[in-house]
Amino acid sequence: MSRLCMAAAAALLGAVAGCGEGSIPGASGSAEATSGGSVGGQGTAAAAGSHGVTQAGAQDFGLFRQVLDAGKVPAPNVLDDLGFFAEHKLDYPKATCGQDLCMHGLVGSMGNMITGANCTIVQIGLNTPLDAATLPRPPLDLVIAIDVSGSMQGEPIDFVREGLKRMLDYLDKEDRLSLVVFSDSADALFQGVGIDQKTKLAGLIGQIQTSGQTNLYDGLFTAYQIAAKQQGKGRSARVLFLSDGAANVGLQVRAKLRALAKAYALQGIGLSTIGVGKEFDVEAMRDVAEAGAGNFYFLEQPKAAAEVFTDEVKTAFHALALDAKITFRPAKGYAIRGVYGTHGWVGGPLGGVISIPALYLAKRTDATASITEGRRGGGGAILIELIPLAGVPDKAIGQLEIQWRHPVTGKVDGQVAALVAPHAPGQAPPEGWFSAPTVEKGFVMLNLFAAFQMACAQAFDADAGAARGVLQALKPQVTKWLKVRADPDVADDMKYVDKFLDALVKLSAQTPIQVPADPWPAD
Amino acid sequence: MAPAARPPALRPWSALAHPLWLASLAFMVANDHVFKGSGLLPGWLTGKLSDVTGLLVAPLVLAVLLGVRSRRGWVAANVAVGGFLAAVNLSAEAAHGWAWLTEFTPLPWRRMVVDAGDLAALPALLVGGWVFGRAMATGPGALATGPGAQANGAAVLASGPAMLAARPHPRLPNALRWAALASAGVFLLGNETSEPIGGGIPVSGVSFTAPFGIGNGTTRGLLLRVRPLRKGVAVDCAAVKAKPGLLLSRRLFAPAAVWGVDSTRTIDFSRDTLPAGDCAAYLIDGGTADGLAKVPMTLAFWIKSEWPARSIPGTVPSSGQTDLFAVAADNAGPLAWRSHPALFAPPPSLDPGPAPGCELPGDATGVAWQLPLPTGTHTIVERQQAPDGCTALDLAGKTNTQRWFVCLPPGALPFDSGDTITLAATSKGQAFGPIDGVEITGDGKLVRLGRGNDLVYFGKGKGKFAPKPGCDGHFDACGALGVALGVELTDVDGLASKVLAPGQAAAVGKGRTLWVVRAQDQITGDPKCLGTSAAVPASRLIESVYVEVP
Repeated sequence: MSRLCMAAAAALLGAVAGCGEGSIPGASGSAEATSGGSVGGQGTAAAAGSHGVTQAGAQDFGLFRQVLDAGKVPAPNVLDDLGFFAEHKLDYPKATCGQDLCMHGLVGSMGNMITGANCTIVQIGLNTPLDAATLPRPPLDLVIAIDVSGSMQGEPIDFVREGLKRMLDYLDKEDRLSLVVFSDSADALFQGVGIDQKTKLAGLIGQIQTSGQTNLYDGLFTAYQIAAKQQGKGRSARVLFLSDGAANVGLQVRAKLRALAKAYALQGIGLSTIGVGKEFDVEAMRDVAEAGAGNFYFLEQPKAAAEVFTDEVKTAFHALALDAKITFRPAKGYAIRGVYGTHGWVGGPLGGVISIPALYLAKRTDATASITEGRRGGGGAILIELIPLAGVPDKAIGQLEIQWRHPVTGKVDGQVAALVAPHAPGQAPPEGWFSAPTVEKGFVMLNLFAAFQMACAQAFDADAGAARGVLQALKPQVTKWLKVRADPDVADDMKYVDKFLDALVKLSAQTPIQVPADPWPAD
Repeated sequence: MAPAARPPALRPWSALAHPLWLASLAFMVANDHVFKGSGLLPGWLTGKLSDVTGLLVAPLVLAVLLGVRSRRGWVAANVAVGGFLAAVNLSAEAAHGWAWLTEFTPLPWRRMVVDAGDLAALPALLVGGWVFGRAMATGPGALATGPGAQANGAAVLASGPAMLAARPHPRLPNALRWAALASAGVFLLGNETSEPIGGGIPVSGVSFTAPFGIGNGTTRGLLLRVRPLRKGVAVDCAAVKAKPGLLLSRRLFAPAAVWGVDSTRTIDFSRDTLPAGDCAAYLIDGGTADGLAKVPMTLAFWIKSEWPARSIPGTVPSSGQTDLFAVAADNAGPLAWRSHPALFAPPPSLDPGPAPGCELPGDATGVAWQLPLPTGTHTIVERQQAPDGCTALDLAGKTNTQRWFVCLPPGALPFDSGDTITLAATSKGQAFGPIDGVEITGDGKLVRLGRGNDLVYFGKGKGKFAPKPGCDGHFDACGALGVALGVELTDVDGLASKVLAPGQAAAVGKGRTLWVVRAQDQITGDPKCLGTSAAVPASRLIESVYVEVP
């Protein structure tokens, strides 16, 4: 068991306080923040205008918001870093690298906003000089699989019908549409109908009816079978999968859904998933989208169906890169503590690889622009948290490398970046140091995510007081930062910090405290 | 010389109709179910009444049950009740012994209070002894038709026992006496809490019966978070016992229940959460109620047969006790757990990764089939294959066509559209089984797939399992720990001894192939992460497929 012992020791080493996890004074109840200093006031905003690039996987944290909007405390699995970061637009330096994809390796170091413990992060940003409006794409065979089980009856299916009809306007006339409906079993309502027959399509979409249970596997399997048949030279194929429930008939092994999506993604058929309502299997839909090299959306309200369908058509069908791999090896003065904003990290303290099945254009182009149509499409970032190792004078932070495959030509391309700080590991000035202003936002975003995640875990573990302590420690720090940097994403996040605190107050009052049997039960 | 006249035999049965006994019984029931905690009577009074009425009711019940006929026997019954009360209120050992005995009855006493103050009620025995002794000697009188028959319980109590003793008591139907006797017996046995009189000073908290308790040995109140294993988690207890802190992941534990523990008190923390298996594990931490100090996290793990349930006092003893996990403070220093053989360092916050080459197949790997199984004979109308290894078979039966999914290694399903197949469940393992499996037969071909603690049956030969050298284990996404196994095939005709790793296949005869899809020892298991809704075997998980094509 010696290797397990060593690995456990390494894991314990990794658990020391850093950006994402800290020791809050007091086992329960409120805690005071130990400030690490201001993170505002440095540099100028990076150039806006280049399109961000987003990974396959969750594109929002809508379910988390919905739970808080309802005055409840989200369970720990509800918040996903990929989805949370994707709703934050980070402006990277203009994409002038001369390739379709430009990688920006940025660095920041300062005390975290929860406990003040040192936090050094490498922020990996991706953007592109390409624009969805001018980017050519091959004709598409789109297969949409819709859950028509009984629970979709009424408003949900009405909005889905409406969203599908509106989506037709954003498809090209060479594109073709197939529609699979599934409940107890799956059926193809129509296959390969050209978008030029909009009236016919609208009529067929209008015929969708609801009844029965939810056979997720058959629905996805049937959609892929159709997409695979239609996939031809010079055309691309994609599946859009929408459900409001968890599988209750058919092959109900969740992992098999993921395996199916992954296997077809390798054959070039992408998948995006959409969860509707409160009852759908959020982990299954999120994981399947990520495995299927596509996006996962959550519809807080059925009427958002139109927005999601059109967003998907506008951006997600423009794959910029496939099978991307980002390698990071820290210099000898640092060890990796954690990696956020991706589910594809495989590695340890001394380095590893992030695998991303597909990269797409993100919708938003400016971090400072007010949010009018929802925060989806920010692009997000991947953040690598480092532990500075004491006594190493080397200022090098590490080396970053990316490789990807062009979705049309199949050509493999790549970039390399060496990261260096102006100070030795752990020797950042009290006010912090950031290699670019956008790292500040990445830093704040990571602190918010870490605080939300810690608060969820602690509240779920019957420690609502400690959860409040985390958020109360974070709140003044972020508020201070917002005074210097007006940021619509972070300002919106803060609304949810307040809602979370309110929900925790309620939860504290409701948490049952068991006590030993009273020796004098009545006397 | 005429022989001395023998005193008449006592008839305890007749005294069950005595108004004082009936009133005491009624008042005892009302006191415990109505008055206590209602605020109608002060607490000290309800406690006092409970003890007094109990001492009036109990000796007569005992006398009836033992068939006492003599005065000596009646005195002995009173002494026995008094002696019992004195013993359990003066000696914690006696109280715990009684609690232990009652564990074998339908009405176990788990909330005993040792309190010498209860002895103040003992004079009630003298009153009952005298009143009921006279009543059982005289038998039922004519009062049933006289004015005394109208006396109710309250009047009886008000007029005093002396007056009552002088009166004959009414006739009462036998059925009612039985009912009164039964209710008194049940109530006395079920009334497990002995309470102090007049708010006397407690000498102990409430004892309970459990393998272990947690005691607060500090001077401050504590809030402790106690996490049991998640429901459905299976544990190989013998294996985990070696290093619980390294082999149990934090992710195997359920959210905490919070316990408030006053200074010096103990809690029955495993109440309602003790798992059904051979061992128990709890992850415990917390802090002082004021939030100023933390109780460090600890892991409690024990084999249940080694630590049977026993009566645990409600108060932390001054000396160490083997059935108590105690938190103590070192002279107002940090809080710490007292050393205990069932307490271990907690698992690390992050599970360590597996050694290279020791990774287990992910949950997407493995055989699977759609349930319910459409048993019987069908014609395959259409076969559609997905690249993940799952196949959709559209099966035409006698009345309808249905789609059935089965997931196998590539090339392990030798049936196609137009073939007729028969589907049946199988539990036949190679050595001992049983396994959970399916047989598909048709046209002389056979596919047998299954999961369990053995290979599917493949005919002559043996399959032996051994851990892959250098592989300690791999924690899955649920925190369950598995150890990769190699499968050694021996005694197979035409095949030299061969070791198969998961994902490999071997010919085990002409036209006969065996696939090992998954082979691992499950130190801990959670069905959620093993791609199945079926129960997880506690120690071994084998998935295999056997194919015969003539």
